[in-house]
Amino acid sequence: MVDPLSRALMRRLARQRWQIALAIVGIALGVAVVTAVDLANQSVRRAFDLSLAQITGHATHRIIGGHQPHGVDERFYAALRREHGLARAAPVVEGVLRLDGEAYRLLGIDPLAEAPFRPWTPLLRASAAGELLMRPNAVLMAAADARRLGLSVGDSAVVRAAGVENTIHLVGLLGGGSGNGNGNAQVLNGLLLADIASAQELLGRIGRLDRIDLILDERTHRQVAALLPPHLRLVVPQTRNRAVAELSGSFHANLSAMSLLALLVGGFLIANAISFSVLQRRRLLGLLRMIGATRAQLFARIISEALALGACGTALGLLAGMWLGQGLIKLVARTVNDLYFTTQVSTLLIQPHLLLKGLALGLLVTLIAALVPAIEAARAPPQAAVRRSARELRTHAMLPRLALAGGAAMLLAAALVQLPQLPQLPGDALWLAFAGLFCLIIGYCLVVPLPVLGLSRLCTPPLARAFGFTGALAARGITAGLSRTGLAISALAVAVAATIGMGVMVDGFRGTVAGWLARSLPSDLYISIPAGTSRRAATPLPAALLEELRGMDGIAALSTGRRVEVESAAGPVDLLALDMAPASYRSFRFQGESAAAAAAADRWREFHRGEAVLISEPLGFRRKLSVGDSLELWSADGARSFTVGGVFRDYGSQRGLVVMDRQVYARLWRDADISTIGVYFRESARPQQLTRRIESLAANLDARIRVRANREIQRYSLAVFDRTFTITQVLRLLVVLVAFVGILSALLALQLDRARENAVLRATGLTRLGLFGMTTLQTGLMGLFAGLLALPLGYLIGQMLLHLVNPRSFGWTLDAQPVPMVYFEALGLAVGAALLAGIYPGWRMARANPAAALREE
Amino acid sequence: MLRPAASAACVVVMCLLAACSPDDQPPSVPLQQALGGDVDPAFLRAENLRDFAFPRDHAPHDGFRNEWWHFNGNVATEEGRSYGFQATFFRIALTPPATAIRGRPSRWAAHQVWMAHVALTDPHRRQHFAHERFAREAMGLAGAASPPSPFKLWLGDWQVAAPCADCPWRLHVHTDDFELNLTLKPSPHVPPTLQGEDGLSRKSAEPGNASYYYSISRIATHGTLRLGAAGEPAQPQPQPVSGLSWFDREWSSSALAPEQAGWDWFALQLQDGADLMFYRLRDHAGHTDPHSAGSIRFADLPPETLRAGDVALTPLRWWRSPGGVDYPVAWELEIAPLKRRWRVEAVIDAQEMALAVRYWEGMVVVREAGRVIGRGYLEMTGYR
Repeated sequence: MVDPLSRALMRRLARQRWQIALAIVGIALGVAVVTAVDLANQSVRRAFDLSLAQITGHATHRIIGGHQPHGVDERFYAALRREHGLARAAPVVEGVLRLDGEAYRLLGIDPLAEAPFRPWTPLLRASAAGELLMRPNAVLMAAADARRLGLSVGDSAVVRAAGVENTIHLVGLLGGGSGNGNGNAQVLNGLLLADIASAQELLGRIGRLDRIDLILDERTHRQVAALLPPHLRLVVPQTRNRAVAELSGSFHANLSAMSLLALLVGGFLIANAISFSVLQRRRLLGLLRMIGATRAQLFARIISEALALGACGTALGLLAGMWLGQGLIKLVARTVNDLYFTTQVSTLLIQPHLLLKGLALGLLVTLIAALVPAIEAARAPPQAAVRRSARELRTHAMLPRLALAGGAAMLLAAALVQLPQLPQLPGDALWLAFAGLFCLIIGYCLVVPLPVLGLSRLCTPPLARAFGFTGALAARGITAGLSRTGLAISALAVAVAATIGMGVMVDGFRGTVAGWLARSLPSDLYISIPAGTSRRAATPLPAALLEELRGMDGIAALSTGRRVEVESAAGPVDLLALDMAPASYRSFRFQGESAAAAAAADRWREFHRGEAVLISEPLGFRRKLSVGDSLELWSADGARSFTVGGVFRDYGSQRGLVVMDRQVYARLWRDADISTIGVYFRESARPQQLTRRIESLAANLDARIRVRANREIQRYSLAVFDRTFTITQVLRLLVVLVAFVGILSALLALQLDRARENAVLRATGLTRLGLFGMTTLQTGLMGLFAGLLALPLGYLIGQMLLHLVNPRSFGWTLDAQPVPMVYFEALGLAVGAALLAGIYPGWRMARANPAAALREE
Repeated sequence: MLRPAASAACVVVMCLLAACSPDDQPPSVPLQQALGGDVDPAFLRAENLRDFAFPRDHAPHDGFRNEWWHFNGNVATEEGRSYGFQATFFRIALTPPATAIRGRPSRWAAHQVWMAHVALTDPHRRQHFAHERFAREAMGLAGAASPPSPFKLWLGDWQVAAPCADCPWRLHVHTDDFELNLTLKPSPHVPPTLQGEDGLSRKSAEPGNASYYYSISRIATHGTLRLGAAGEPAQPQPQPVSGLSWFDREWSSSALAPEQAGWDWFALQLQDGADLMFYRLRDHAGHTDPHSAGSIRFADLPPETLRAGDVALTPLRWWRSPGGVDYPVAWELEIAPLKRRWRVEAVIDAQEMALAVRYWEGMVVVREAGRVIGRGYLEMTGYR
């Protein structure tokens, strides 16, 4: 880089180190967020895939209880082996234990039947095996988990399952020992391996298996299929695993899209910085053209400058992303744990292709951002005395065209999001929504300078009145330098709007869930045995409890429910069989219907007759079911068809839920157990006294029973919700951070660039204080404009996230909540950051010697 | 037949180690390596002479740590095609009955595990198939009946059972490669051969390092044999076979002495009606341990004991297994008291039991001066 062209341009650029540093930080932050989210997402997904694969092992088929909520009778397994000579069959009892507040997947196996199925071989230390079989509650655990928990072989630990405490004994470690097991070691994180006897005892699943894993060939497949009683099903595990993986796919997609938002904001920052550097060197560029530099040379020069900045920023961003990813992985894993699958992930898997993707994205965004300024530089006319005013006039003239282009982009956005409505057009509705979102943002940016013009003109008279000459100058300065201020304000508006949009989405979501919780828990008290040991069925309550409650004074009505997992043609679904008290009917809100219509009598008639079932929105979304469609479920006597009588709102499970009349369920599935009771108090009852009586009654029957007030459940559920959404909040904060850096850098640059104008003002008599005031006022004003203009965009982004992205990701209908705080916060952020950005240049300019500043030009 | 005290925990580990995915071969453990370790003193030990009684002693002896029921035999079809089979059921107590935890809620809780090995040799096609199974003694997955129930032992659907107390035994084994359904009729007139000192078979100088050991060396056998891989579209029909089987029973709680490396065990049935059993314990240098012993029984006469010095064994030919282990597959037996010299040779060399526990066991033919005088089974462990 020794050619005179480069040297001349570099020397000029070197004077803008602040701007350059901040532009680098901007792109670095953007890349960091994208990379961190990518790495965390992929690490969690990989752990998830590997755990599933590890648990599935080499099984080609599995037998599951098609209807029995308790899984498969262990005697069926014994019969398969003993009477039918099936050698490659392994029993599995599976559940979740909480240890030290964390969820662990307990896998109960028969070590003697495992050999063909799961390659524990390299992971198991010899001495542990005998103890595993012999010692009650003996477990093996991943070496990494044991280290983290401070446990070593021989130690005991207290675990909770189904509300019962138990002591487990660590008799050996999985992985981490011999050299050849290391590749798989992480797979085992979050896993407790126990003998099937211990697992049954720990999980309270005596006599039951969750499944029987099989390796079948054609002949044995025929043999097993013929043996299978109607209530058991033979399924292929791989398809089921895929379904679980798809479920969490939307969540990962959402995180990725949000991280791209951060990069978009970063892109605006770099566009702003580059175009600035071009503007500042415009005179120099004109000179260079005069002495013979070609347009192409200048274009290439600016692009390579931008790429150099982009490369620095991206490199820093990748490093920061790896660091940040380590922090995010816990949060992502927690959400996946809460919503989808129990797995422990603690180490970030640095996948080179993700780093390459981050690098490519960073450079690409930089390149796109630099295109307009580079073209601008190439166009610089070959004359020295080109006036900035001429350029500003041209910018003003361009405004309507820009706005028009912006409008077109926004129309395209609208069209994109509508596309999926047309059935003949294929395409992923979710990604179209994201594409629309990005089009909207870019279009809006193009439109922004026009209203800036209007706003600043609008502001001039009142400011002039309030602050006199400096006030008017501050406002007019924005208009006069629109080529620079316009872009800066656009960038800031996008950054701020992104924070608003995410805030609106999270708050809207939370508000919707809170409203739903309040509505869907109409009883005063709920009695159940805490779930968590098995997905297949909630633990039944003792039958005597219901009898006792029926005879108790002060109780107005009882609702009973049975929660189980049943099989459908497309895999397992959760089923809630309800026997509702009259007041419970109100708790349902159906898609596209008012609350009054929900009580429509014929729907419930069909429901009670067992012809219709109700399904939750996510289930309808995933299975593409709506009212009138039929849903096939496996009852005790095989497949049975039900009509979908209504699609109700439910935010409790992304897997979806089928609600059925309990009498119908009990008859068809031959399961009269109940697992929840809702208690309505009489008006006259004394709630506290009654609660205590019910609690002591329950405790006498079974210590595991929990009696909880509806408020308590609401509080708890919202706490879980907040925990699940921590990752989104963190992403929002990161976007806020990027926005803050953006505002700071853009406005700082702008004011530093004003040195000459300001020197003129000082020379013509403006006091230091006056100049400082004017600078601060101007940046504050720009922050305010950015904030104000961000409001509608933020609102739109929020609406799109709520009403397009969420339904298309998870099938949820969400209600927008009025969240004025989000908007005020955004305004505060914009103005606050802007004022902060005004302080340093104001202080510097106020101190500068006007003569020196004038000479510099 | 000698399979001393497989260490309980080790065997369980071996089951786990037997993880065989299609792409990686199971790591196999030499049998003698699985033997050893400390024995819980609460187990009974074979220290004193005992009064054997049948069929009572066919049933399991739960106070001892290890016990096995071993069957082998040479059978032939009506056309004269010969086959060899072996089926062995091992009972392994993980803990002495006295210290076993009782009353656990789960029916899977068990303190004994079972292992079974079955093999078939087809000399005509030069094939040898070996299979194994494991199960705990729970849920009816594996076990053995005790009097007054008639004799029965099983692991999955592999089993040997007598429908009544005096009925013949029915052996059923079913694998991907073959299926055996045999009826074994021990002669009611010939009592079992009590090996060692009236059934107390000492394995080393240490007292209690011994087993109770008896054999029924000649059992008339008939039934059917079906050959063919599972899933084959046209499965061959079962074909009738008949011949002679050998039944070996041993139980103990002891382990091999550290200096003992392995053994060579011969069970030979001669055409003239004589049956010979001899085991040679080897030390690490390959020398014969003085506790090597055996017996010979002529037709219906009482058995005679053979001592270590009575039989001289000379390997004549070696075979290297796919795993790289060299086994002597042809032997010269010089039986001094009889003044006879036999050549015992594997009908096919590749009869290694490449299972979780690895050893060589297979069908042999006995020749004297080039003439076939008998058939039998040979088991060799501790080779590397």
